Amino acid sequence: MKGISLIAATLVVLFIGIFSILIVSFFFKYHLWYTIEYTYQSATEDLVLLSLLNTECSGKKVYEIISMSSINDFSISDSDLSCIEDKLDKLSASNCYRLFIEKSDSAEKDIIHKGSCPLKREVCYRIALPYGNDLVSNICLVLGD
Amino acid sequence: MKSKMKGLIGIIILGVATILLGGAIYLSTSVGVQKSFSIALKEVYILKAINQLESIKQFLEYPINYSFSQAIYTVAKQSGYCNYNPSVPQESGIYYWRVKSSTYFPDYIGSLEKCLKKYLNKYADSLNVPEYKEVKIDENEGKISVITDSMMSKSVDTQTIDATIKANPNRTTYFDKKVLSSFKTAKRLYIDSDIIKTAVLNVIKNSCKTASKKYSCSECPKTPSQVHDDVCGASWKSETESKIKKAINSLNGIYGDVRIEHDIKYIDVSYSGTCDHTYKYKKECYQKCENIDGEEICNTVCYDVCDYCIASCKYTNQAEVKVLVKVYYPASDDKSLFYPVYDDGKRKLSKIVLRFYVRETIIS
Repeated sequence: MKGISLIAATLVVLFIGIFSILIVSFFFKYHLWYTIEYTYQSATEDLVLLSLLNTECSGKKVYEIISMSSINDFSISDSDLSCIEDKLDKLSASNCYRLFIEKSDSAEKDIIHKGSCPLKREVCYRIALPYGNDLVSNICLVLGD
Repeated sequence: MKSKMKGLIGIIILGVATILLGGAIYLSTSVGVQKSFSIALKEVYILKAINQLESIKQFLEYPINYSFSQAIYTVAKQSGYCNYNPSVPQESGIYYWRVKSSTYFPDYIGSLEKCLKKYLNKYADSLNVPEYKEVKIDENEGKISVITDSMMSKSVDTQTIDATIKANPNRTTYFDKKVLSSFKTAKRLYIDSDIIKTAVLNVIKNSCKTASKKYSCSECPKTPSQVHDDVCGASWKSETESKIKKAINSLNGIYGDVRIEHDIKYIDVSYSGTCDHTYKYKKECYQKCENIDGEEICNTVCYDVCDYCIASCKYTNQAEVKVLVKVYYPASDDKSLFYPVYDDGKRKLSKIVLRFYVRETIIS
């Protein structure tokens, strides 16, 4: 009897110990995995925006199209807009994003807006505008999960 | 009792050993993951910093091009000067390129470099790029080189990493050389040659240079202006001025890559002359009878009387004109070829308009 209860007690302690460690490890690992994944995604946004600004629509870089559009209050022709949207669709591979300009009066002017995502990550770069009162403006990309 | 104690101690030792073993397994894997995570974070921070610097460096051609557009727009508008130049005659910021035989051709490349540097350094300040110390424009190659003596840098300062990323902001870009044809064409037409003088000269050199008219003797002598009015007409001045305007306006048009317009701001035509008067006489005769010794003897007596006079005049014409010359690039109205510029408080797409005055005094 004594032998049996010793073995049983040992098994219980082993079970509790290992199970606790596994549960704790699981939560820690999940947290770490999530953070790594999130950081990876943030770096991706930079690359998506930079790649977008570097691509060409109607013979001009998207950077130039957007910065030159400041002459007409950031109005972009329909053909250029659909080209930018097409490029962004391919680069982001996301169902929801928002590309916008922060104007000098702090107002935000949407260039393209697609879908609505609860969790969003944003990246902004300074873009040079043609000479004027405000020389640079922020071009921002918000990507959803 | 003793064996019970032994069993309990055994269980405790076994439990502690199990927990220690489990903890050791967990810690070894966890530290491994955290190390990887830390390395990944460092890489991401560095990558982001590099991305930011590279994006500025990669897109630097745009502020350079925008600064160049603004520089050439300003320099052209100010007749080839970036800053006020007190040694050259000017009116309301528009300089004279020619006053009679004196010419004042600006160092437009030097002015462009000065203005380009001024505008570009405003962009550099906004983009956290070091100040550009030198800006060179090669007009033969259409090349702009911007040079600074320091690197642009981006610090990565986090708990896990403290680093500084650096990049060289020196750049070389190219521009459409044709934009400088405004200055080159204008130099050829108004400095090397003088098309306004030639046009005016063609009008006045044959306009009422001589006048000759017969008057009655009582009307002579005549002043040169009286003869001028009688022969050439009292409206000669206004007519000649109209002809000069027409001749100057006929110079408007396209010259290679540019279109030129002339805006006549002042015009005056005058003349001075001298006249020779030639008097023509005729004989008049009458019978003069005298009674000599009771005999009447008549003789014909003749004498010269003035019949008419001819006034022959020679004139020197003089025309004074002040013309505002506007040289447009591009010559066409295709807006896709226009330059982004800032003027009157707003951004716009515009042609580059070179403006300068030419003042001439032409004597013939």
